[in-house]
Amino acid sequence: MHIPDGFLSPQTWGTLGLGMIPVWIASAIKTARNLKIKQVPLLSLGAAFTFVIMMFNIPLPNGTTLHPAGAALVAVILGPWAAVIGVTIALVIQALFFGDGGLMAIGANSFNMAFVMPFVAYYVYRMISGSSAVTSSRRWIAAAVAAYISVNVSALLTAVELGIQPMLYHTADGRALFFPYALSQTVPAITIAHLLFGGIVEAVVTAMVVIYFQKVNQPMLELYPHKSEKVHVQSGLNLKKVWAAIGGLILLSPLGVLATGSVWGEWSTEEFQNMLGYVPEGISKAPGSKLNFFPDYSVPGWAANFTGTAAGYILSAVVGLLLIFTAIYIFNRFQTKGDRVNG
Amino acid sequence: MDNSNSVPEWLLERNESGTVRNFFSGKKKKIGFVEKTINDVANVLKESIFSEQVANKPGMLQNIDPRVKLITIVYLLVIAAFLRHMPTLVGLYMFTLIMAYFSKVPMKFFVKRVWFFIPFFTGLVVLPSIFNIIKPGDPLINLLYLGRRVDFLFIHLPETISITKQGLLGAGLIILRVGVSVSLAVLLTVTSRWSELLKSLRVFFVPKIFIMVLEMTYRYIFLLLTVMTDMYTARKSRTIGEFDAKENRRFISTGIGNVFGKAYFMSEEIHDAMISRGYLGEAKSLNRFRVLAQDVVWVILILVIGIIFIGGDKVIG
Repeated sequence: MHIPDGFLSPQTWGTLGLGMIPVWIASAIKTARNLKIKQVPLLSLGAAFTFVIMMFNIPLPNGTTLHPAGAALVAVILGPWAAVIGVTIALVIQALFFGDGGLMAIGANSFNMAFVMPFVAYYVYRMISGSSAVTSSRRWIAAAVAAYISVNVSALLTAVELGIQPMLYHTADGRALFFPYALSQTVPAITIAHLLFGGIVEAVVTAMVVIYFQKVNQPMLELYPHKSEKVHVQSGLNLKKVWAAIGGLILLSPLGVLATGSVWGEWSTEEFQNMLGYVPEGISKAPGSKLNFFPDYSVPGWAANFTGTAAGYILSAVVGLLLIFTAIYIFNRFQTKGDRVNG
Repeated sequence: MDNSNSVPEWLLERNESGTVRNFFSGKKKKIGFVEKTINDVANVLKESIFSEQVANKPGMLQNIDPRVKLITIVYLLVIAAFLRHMPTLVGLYMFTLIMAYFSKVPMKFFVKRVWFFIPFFTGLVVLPSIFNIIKPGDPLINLLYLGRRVDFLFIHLPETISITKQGLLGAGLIILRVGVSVSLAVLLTVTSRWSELLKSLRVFFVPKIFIMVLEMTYRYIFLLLTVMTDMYTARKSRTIGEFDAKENRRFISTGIGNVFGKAYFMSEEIHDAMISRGYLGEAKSLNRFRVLAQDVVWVILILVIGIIFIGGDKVIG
């Protein structure tokens, strides 16, 4: 998932890099408040640990190995804000010293892996684990689901960032200036790989480390949130109901999608464009590149196969919903933060 | 070249990840994840040792103030990102070669590192895009005549499969740009000592606290990697035969958990050690960088070169 330099247009990495600045500042403030003076050694070791996790090769059935991204695990143990710093630093060191991921693409890589991934992971984990006991099996199930979902959201973002390149930047005769594949190619290629392999590896590793802590080292699972922070959780009680409602809607919406399959395409396009903000102009200008999430599903022969179509829709729905869910969550998070300051 | 303190060649050889060569037959065979992990860790250590070695040589880039060097390299990276033609990118690549030469970066290493290792991945990724299967374009070389369009599930094949002009140029452009970007990044890291490089991030308004965390992280990465290799070596040396997948998974996850537990315990100890040595939450840095006349000349040179490349790119079209 590490995007190297040269794949993204300067406009893309520039935008994502600028977008990360407030996140980095917020994470510095947040962790400084929570961890006080201890933050320096703890964050350093957290970041070093994040780097080292990526060195653990997991054997796969086909004889190859994969390494976990680790952001979900760090978010579950140290909280999302410390994970932002930890993963960012791991990415900076990888880019600077080991040529893994581009220097200019640090903003984009951080956005995918150091910001979206830990936050998605953390909130999914919190939502599922709730107030269960440290030793509860809900904890490791939550960690597994959190890891699986967060890796896939992060992979989808990577695919989208790469896939919008040919629409936005190409020469008059259709020559790609940056990454050459369109969304319809990058999204299936990258997401399917992560839905099938990357996500599962991440989920298994994260869950098994949580199980290990449950057995051997329980305090590690109680590092975050800190005792003092629990006050916030209680004051945001009304928000919980809103979240339950939204969660319910999200769970129900795939049913609606399945029932009225034809609406899916339109809806996804609009949502998609809203999410990215700057995309619509480029898309409307780019010839023949009507944004379509999974265009292959409308192919004759493929569409005739009902299970294939249904599977495609469910896949698309889950992926699309996750994207929106993340954006809403993050947006809401910032809003409630503002409220807290005002109140 | 001064060989007295250099690392022997065999130690710096990069093992192809995931395979090991049989000593007698020379055949490659797959290795298990334990060995692969130990090799990967060893490669990380090798690379950092090598890079410190080059950074200590008296060369051109080594003599430039680290902050100035960081800014100028980033400037060139931005230039590389904006170039849209192959000739200008080739020109910029030539310039990186010249810089590498005067900075006493071993040429073989420099070229090999960029063109054999990293864009191998890029090339593979970009390869399908040169055919008109992925993207329509003006055919350059026709490969296969099918007679009619084929539409089957995901697969849509045009009447004639060919390599397109647009695809080839686009792929070439990407590979070149990645190559130039990687070369510039390698130049920066290989000619700078990491402590100086991290401190020079201050010029991008990176807060001191971040830099301090970065520095400590870099140190502790090596410590944790040692903990990890010890764990793996211990297991390898006590293992006869093979374990099943379940046991392997258990080993890895307890390994990760154990490394975290150690790291956390260590962070408490380090915190106590820092407090007892008078740390009050404010980091003080010892390096005092100075901008010399040569740095000014360097900045002007790089600025002009950047403008020439951007100008040249505009002239081409």
